[in-house]
Amino acid sequence: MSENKNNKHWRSLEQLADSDKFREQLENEFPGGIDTPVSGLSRRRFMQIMSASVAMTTLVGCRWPEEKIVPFAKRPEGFKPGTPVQFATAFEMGHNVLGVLATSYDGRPIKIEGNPDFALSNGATNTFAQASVLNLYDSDRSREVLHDGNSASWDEFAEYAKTFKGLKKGGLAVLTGATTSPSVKTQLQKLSKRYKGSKVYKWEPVCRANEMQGAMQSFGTPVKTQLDLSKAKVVVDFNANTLQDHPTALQNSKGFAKGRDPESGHMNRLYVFENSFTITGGMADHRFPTHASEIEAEVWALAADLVFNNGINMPTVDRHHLKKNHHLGNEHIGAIAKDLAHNKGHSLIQVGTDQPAEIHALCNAMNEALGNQGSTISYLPFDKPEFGTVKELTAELDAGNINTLLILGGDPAYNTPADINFAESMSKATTIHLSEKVNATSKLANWHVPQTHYLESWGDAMAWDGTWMSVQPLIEPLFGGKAVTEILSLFVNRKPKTSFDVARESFCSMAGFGRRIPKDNPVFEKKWREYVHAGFYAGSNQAGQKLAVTGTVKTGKRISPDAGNLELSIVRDQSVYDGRFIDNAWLQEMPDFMTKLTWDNAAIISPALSKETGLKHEDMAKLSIDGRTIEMPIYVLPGQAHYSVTVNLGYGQESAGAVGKGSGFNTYQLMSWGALSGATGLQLEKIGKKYTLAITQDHHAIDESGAAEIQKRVPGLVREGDIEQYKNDPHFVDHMGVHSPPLNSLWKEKEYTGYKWGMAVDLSVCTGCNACLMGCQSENNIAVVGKDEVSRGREMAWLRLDRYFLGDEDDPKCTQQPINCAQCELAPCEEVCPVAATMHTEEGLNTMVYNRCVGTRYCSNNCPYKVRRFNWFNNFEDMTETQKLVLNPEVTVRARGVMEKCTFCVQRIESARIESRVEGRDIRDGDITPACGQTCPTDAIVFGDLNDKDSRVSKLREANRSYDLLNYLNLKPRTFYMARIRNPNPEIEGLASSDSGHNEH
Amino acid sequence: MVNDPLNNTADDPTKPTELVLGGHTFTTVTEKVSDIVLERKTPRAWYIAFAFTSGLTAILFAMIAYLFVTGVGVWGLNNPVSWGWAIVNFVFWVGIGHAGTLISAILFLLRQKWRTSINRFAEAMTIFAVICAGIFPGIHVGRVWLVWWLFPIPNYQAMWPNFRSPLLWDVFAVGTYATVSLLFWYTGMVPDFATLRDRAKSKIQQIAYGTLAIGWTGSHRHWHRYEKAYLLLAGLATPLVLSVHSVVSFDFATAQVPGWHTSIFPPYFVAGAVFSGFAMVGTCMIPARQWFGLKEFITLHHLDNMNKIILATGSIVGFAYATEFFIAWYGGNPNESFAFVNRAFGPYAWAYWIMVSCNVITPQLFWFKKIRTNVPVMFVMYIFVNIGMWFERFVITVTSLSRDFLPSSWDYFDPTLIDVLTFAGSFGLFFTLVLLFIRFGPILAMAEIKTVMPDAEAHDDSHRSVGDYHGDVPETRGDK
Repeated sequence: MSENKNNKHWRSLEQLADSDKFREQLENEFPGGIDTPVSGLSRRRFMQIMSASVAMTTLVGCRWPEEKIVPFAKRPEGFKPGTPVQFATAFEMGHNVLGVLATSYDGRPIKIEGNPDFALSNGATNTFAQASVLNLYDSDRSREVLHDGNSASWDEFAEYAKTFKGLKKGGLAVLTGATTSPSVKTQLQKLSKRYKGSKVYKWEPVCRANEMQGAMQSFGTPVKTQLDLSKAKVVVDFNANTLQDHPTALQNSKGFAKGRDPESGHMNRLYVFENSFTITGGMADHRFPTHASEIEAEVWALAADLVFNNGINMPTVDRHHLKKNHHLGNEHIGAIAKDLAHNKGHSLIQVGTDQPAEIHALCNAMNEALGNQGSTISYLPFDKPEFGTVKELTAELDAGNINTLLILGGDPAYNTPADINFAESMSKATTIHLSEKVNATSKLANWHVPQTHYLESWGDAMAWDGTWMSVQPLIEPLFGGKAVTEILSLFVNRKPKTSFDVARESFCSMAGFGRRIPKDNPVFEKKWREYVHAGFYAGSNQAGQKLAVTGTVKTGKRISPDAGNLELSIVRDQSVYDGRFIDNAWLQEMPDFMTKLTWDNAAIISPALSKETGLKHEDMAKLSIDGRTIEMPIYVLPGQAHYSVTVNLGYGQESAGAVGKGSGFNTYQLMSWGALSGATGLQLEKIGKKYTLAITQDHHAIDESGAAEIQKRVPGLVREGDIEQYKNDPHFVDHMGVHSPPLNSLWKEKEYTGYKWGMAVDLSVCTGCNACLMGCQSENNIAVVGKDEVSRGREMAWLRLDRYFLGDEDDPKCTQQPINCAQCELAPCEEVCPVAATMHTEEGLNTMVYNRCVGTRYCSNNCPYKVRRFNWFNNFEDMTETQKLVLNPEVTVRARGVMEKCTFCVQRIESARIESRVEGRDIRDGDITPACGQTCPTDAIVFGDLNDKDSRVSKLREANRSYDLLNYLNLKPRTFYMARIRNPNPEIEGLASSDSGHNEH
Repeated sequence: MVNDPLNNTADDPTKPTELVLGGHTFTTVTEKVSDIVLERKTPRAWYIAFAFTSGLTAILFAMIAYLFVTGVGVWGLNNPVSWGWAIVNFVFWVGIGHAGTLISAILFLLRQKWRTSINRFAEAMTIFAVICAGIFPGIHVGRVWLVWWLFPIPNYQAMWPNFRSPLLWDVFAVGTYATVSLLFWYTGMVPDFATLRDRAKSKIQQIAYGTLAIGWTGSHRHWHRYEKAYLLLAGLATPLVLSVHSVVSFDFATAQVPGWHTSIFPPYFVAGAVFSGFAMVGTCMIPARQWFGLKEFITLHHLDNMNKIILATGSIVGFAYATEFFIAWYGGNPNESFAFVNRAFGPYAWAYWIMVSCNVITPQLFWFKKIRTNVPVMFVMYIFVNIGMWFERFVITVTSLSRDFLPSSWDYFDPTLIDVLTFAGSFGLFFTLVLLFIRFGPILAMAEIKTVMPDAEAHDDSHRSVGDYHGDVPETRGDK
């Protein structure tokens, strides 16, 4: 561990925090499991870690310890207990790297927010990054090195590592997940050099391999596609989910929102072809439910129409094949092609990762031909490391060519395709598995080494635009884990290095200071400090280039699934991703943005297929493809392509911890090496069993009169119109919804003369990505209640996204509406509370006084938005000491029997007030951002003072599009909405029947 | 039927209906009623019934204990439906508690002599029903240990309760009603307790009834005070009969939930309460008159009259249902009209139609005298009305909440086993108290009954014995 021997003070803290020797001592001192430091994080140990961490942060101000520097992003003078501080670091998942700020409270990280200085985050984050902090405190995290299932120590493992030197040529293999870390890359290169014939393999279930191959075909080099949606006037998305699944999805969303400003009349247009609803499809002006296997044909038809009817020249695309495919597209292809051709240089075509490389190449050719290169799209060539595939690895293992296999994270025994029997193959070598948890792979491995969380160790990463990102720890490893770079160091360095040393060396060579860290070089130290402080190395991002398309494109086929030959589409999950977040309770309980499903995955089928097969919602069904079979429940989703069955990955893990146990069904069983994202040939069979799905909206099947009422009511709730309608009648929103007589108050209304907080939600740019929900979850200590309670309708979310479908269930429009407590000025909840536990503040916040609440729940009954949540039980009872560390100390943890609801993040209002008072000024617009608005990638949520005429929120209030939800109840809500404006293509609008007449009311 | 010695339902305008049959004298009345308590061996059926009901009561308290330890989540409530069976049961039991006071107070003031043989029993039922009702609002709050904050009691927060909240009005309305009903019931029983004290043979009984009789000697002064007090209490209780359920209905009417927010609720709730109260009095009285041989006191004429009231109030309830629907359409509020369409045809249509069949169709059969005077048939009817009135409260409370303004929050309420057992347990408590009263209390108002017997009327002054007079006698007679 620490090499820093001259710093006595630090050394003792180091011992306190965690060292193997100290742990041994402790075990000797308290034998018989007293305080069990190894298997459980006791209160005593917690205090030790905390004191160490606090001291760690305190030290920064007065000295410069060689190793444990933790520079502040916002640097207070010295350390003030109880003051949250933020540190810049980076979150990496698959190919996605996000610059984030981690909030630390008295030495424990409690919240992840986007790094506002980092171009690809802009202060926003996604759900995964925000929820990742919970993984840190997962009680099921691995706490010790295991050797053949028995407790061992890091020293024993290090001893064992010395035997590596004797490995035969080619006897060592490394399996890694997708990693962008430059230091890991360097170490792996060193490893290959040192162990002749050793090879590095990579496995990532959710990958962009087809896109890369398509780029190779087009440009002859691997590229990272850089998008700029703010410049796009027309976007065509073929199953790409550009607003969510792209590595720069946050930036894409922001750019897309920028190009969608009804007030200025600047409106882009989005066409989406997809088999299952994504958030991109939800935002589309025209969405065409299309089988994934037929998308290929649509792309060809679009290219053909561009060439033959719009005079766009695509020399690298086979003309004969274009001609052959011209007729294959749907009836609107002609109109879309025309729209694209009209907006040459300002359009964008994106193809999903599930589509073959050929189609990606075709897409590259189309973007080039439309002159989009350099405007909406550019390419960043990069050094793609040459890794073997997991298929090759199993072949080598089976052939007995590998003696020792080092697996860096992941869970290949669980998440490899069904036709690769990794579990069996790995038994043919000595395996070492580095992992945060004891998962299926760890159980089979000879050695298991606990891995650090990214908030516990040093590291680095490379963002999609080439920015060099720094990863820094906020806390000592809670359970004594090791970083990837530390275990690799055992192999490549004579004297093993810490993650800190590796990260610094890596930075050193990148920043041009050579391979060795210069001693006493103030310039280097300054740069390093700036790098860690900012979270990235300024100026290291690279601009995308224009690349000439040289490769030709000539093949393509149309496969049409039908009732006997269904299409299987395998996608990553919005909650557990590929399975790595199975034990993350926040993500598990976060409703899928479209299905509103929690804690499970289901086979999503279309209403038409449901009618044909008789399979209803929550029926168990048998899914079989190529002789592989699983059973899982059915979810009927409007807008699903007719014969397409979508399943999400990541569930059904037998080795999951307490949270994820028994959650969902393992769909890797349906995946095969040749068809990672699915194929046709699926059979669906009813087996006559039922399964309860926990869904947060439409808990039960809606009867006909109810469904009709929803269709009637929603246009008044989620108000929307076409851009033409808006131009012709800018006040059209005022004529929608229920008409009422003049609204008068029963009481004398209060005047608000000071601050008057309000929130605007712009439905035009809200994509429904769930980031706000997760922001609220982690900011406000929202309880997680589990599947049973959710299926009873008792989820605790203060902020929810209401999703409605409008029109034809086979091809509906989808709307999203975030709903939080509207802080009504004439709040119906306040009048009915018998003990006056909910009251108004001078600034118009509707506050819950938890310690006055007796829990009659009358307020909830009388709340027309149903945003109040009741603590039916003591929801925090089962939380372990470790899990409690994630709680935000600025927000009260609610007791059993108490009502709770959104506070407009009153703690943030108060801290802004304190700050303004200290500085002797008023609170300025923008000083306060609630957690939901803070994380929103499209800035759809704006908060501020309605009495300040110049504030952003006041201007939105005055805008024509603003309206109050349920305005006829005269509640005077402080949360108001901006009507959604769509920009349909008039040529298509005339044709499509489902679009007419929904705004009639 | 006319020749049946126990049938006094024939309408003969030439002479008053006999309210006590079987040739009873004052002495036999006293013997009959007090022997139930003092002399007769407790029937085996009583023990069986008591074992059963006290078992149910034990379940009630076990469920409450479980609730207190765990949380309100043990019931089937969810986010839109924050009030479920607890509130349904509360309104149901309060409604049942209406019959007693109506019979004792309003019919007393209206000089309806036939009330005398059923009033004691009905009053007792009122008290027991209000006890059952009072349990539910108390246990349904999230933090039951703080429920006293609902009362305007000085506390460390130095806060008044919120006087704008109908729940607070409930506290006062139900509290007042329970207090006055209890006083009224007890005051009426004092002379009878004295009778029991005088006839009791065991020491324990003498002490117990003696204490309850608070020194009653039957002196003129006592009777004078007694009658004044009784009259005043009757006057005090009469507006409460109308007010308590009106206030309970404000819980719903003042909220803005579609299906709750309607001004018809106060009269509609009061009519429903009287309707259900009479049905429950009948449900208890029919077995009691059977088993304790009280057919001569609780005659068919009494039952016939009660059924007429059930018919009248049942029709009001039916009319209210129709009016609600009319206003939902005529009012033009789309949310309210949907609330009613949803009741009749939505997921809770089953509950709605149970309610309509039991409450609208059943009482209409009482237009026929044959049905009004057929004891087994009317007993079945009473059961139907009880079921129907419980469902009425369920329909109002749950269906309205389950689908309010935003369709995103719509949900369906499923009760849990705890819900069911708690409700069943409340019946256990109710019938346990009824059984205890039958066994240990004067179930008929002996003193009052004597005043409606012919003996009290048609003879000269010398026959008027002290203690047998009750103030329901025309003034002119004494001056002869």
